[in-house]
Amino acid sequence: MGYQDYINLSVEDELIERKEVSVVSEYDKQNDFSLESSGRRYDRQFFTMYQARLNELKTRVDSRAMKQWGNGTIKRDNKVISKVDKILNITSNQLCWVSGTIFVDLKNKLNIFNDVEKGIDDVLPQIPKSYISSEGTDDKVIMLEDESGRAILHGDDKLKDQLFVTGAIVAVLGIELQAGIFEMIEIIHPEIAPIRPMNPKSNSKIAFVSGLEISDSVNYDFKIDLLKEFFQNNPKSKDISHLVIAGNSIKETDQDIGEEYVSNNNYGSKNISKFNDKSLKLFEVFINEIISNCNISIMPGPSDPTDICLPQQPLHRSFFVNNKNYVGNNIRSLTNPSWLEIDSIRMLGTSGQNIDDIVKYLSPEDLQNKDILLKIMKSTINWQNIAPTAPDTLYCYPFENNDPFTLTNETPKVYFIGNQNEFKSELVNVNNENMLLLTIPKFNQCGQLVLLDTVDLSVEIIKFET
Amino acid sequence: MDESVKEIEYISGQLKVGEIVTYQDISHQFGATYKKSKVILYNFYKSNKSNFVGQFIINGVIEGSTVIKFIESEKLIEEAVEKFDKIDEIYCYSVTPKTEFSLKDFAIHNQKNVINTDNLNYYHKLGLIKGPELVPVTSFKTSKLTVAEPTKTSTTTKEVSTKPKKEKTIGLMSNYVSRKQKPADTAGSKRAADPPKYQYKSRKLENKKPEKVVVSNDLEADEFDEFDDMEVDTPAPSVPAPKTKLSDIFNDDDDDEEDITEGQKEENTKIQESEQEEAIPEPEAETKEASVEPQVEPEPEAESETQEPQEPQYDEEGYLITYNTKKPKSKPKPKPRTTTETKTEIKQPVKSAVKVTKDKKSKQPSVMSFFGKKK
Repeated sequence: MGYQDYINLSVEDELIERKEVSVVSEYDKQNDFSLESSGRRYDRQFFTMYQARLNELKTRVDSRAMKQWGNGTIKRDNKVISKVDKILNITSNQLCWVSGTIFVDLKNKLNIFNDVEKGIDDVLPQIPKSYISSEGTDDKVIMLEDESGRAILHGDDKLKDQLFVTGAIVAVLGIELQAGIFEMIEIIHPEIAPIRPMNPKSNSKIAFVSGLEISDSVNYDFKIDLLKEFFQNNPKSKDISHLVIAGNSIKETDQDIGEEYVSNNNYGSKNISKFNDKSLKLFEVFINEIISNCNISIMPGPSDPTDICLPQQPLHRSFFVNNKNYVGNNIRSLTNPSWLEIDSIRMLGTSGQNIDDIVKYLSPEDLQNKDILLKIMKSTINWQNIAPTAPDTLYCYPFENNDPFTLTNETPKVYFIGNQNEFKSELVNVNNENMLLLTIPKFNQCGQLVLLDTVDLSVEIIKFET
Repeated sequence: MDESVKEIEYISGQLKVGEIVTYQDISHQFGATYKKSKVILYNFYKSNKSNFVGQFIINGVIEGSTVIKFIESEKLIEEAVEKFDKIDEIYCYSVTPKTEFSLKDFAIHNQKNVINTDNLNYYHKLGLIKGPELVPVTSFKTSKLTVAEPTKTSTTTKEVSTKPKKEKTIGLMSNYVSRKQKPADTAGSKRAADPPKYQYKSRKLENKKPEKVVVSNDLEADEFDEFDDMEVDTPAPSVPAPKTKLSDIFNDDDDDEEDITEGQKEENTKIQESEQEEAIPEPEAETKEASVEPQVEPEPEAESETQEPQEPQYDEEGYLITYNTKKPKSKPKPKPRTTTETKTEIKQPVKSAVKVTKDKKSKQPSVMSFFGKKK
């Protein structure tokens, strides 16, 4: 068959109506990551945030560990397992378990003291691509700490599958053979908060896209036009009831990038905008084209014009120019991370910073795993904290006595991460409930749109190629 | 084909000019459905293949995934078709002259075809998929988010409530936000917060010398809001009632650095405006003290004015002379500069300015200590 046989095969035009989905205007955890528009304090220490995380998760990890290891009631290798309340109270050659916060020391982690020493503490430092030095992983030191002190964790090969990042709360079974070094035998994570069952009322699809990186006319990606056209008049898109844009919608302009810092003109009148007005205008045009036929939820990402720190606050409605009056109804400008509830499906998503930062803790061997992104996502669910490395290596607002990244009383039904290099999805069983993990690829690289079925949580992708 | 004569003329006309013509152009230009426009465009291309280049889009499936592929030229289409496991449709997306066109050119061209969301029914007739109705949000709905925030975390609400109570602000608070919150109050003026209003209004009422006020305040307002408060407070001491307000304001913004900043302000204002400003208040002091008070911007000036009538008694040279010469100074600033008389006047006020600064410096700590007590 020649291509002529396929020319204009579509049915004669008729009014195609998009499927609608119930998106409640107000839902639980809607504002979990919202910050007050005024009165934000950046002069606080992060201690209370860690403390809040520890308080929330320690009880849950302790109760789980108590069931499994007990306190003087269970034997392992003819040794009685005992519980130790504080790390400082660990005694040598005693099989015991203790809970606390993981701290991972790596050579390439940013260090304010080094910046002060070099006199570059007043500029935005360049974040390294990996916290592991190029020499290898020998410089990696994993520690467990609580308010009493720290112990260096040392594990055997069985624990190689475990991911260790700063900020995760775990319980560790082991024995102190040398002073200050705790040999790990097993690890237990906190009890996982329940997942709310979903009850979808419509059979539709939710679309996810991230990394559009709309730039000025010269660098504009034509695939974005194909995406717009797909939404506007491709009959295959009629089942899409909602579009979620998971960050990096707008591309930053090229910056003066130094080796150790982003720019030396970050403050005061010398601060230069990272965005040009043309890309903002084209972003507004894109939004206009999409909302003409589909409702959207939009989250900011690392390249978008909003906060650097997590949680990033919603894009200001002024960016939507002529469509700003629809912000709140047809356009939902969300935080990053953000909870969503579409057709009773509880979703939690980020624009990718939390996962990207954890990737920097991993060794090259770990990164060879094709499913490493899903593994990291599972780990964050196991840790019950979606951004454990904040505030250690991930910029984060200094919350006071609160850690919004901790899953306190609910685990999402769908957990998605934007701006990844490839699409991945996995349906995992958590507390006898199915939970979907989803990575949304960068559109400007992959040209992919992810569709999620609201009934069976099946996933498919639409590729746009040029 | 007869129906599409206009469309064909349009296509050929555009191509002659060197423009890209897409099927959406035809639809938006003539109100033809997208389907019909695709057919018209393809038919045009078929009959003019030798003169133009056609771009196509393939909708199909590759390895189980839906693929929408843009083909830049008919020459490449057969090769692309082979990669598809299944093809749903191929249609002509656009036609271009034979000159080279890049994808960026198509992207730029499409920026002209923006859907007017105010007239969606028209586009629905063309073939636009009908989505949910666009519903504008009232201005109140945006406030929902901010209202909901304090309910979710007790910590944030605590922050707000404790904000006015806190005596020491280390300096990392976002003063910036307060402006945004109350834009309506300031009504166009870029100055922040409530307390400044009173004094600004009073200045505006007396329009005699607003220019200096604007300059000095803008500079400071851009940098630090708290400093504005300090400035604004200065005229207040002359009036007994505002004292309590002042104390409240200082309780809000207490900064150890404020003493220094005030001193800096004084220095700046004197360095930059010493000649002009100080020359001006003096004659005013002669005429009416009451009129001088509201006109003067910062505290130091107001204080200097109150001091000025006293100083002539102590100082022998400077002020007596200036009084005599400055009587006609109700005129604007530039005039005294040009005259030779003013040169002598200027030199003298500079001396007096130095004296005044000394006086101010001596007085300021006392002012701050005054407010400090009220804490």
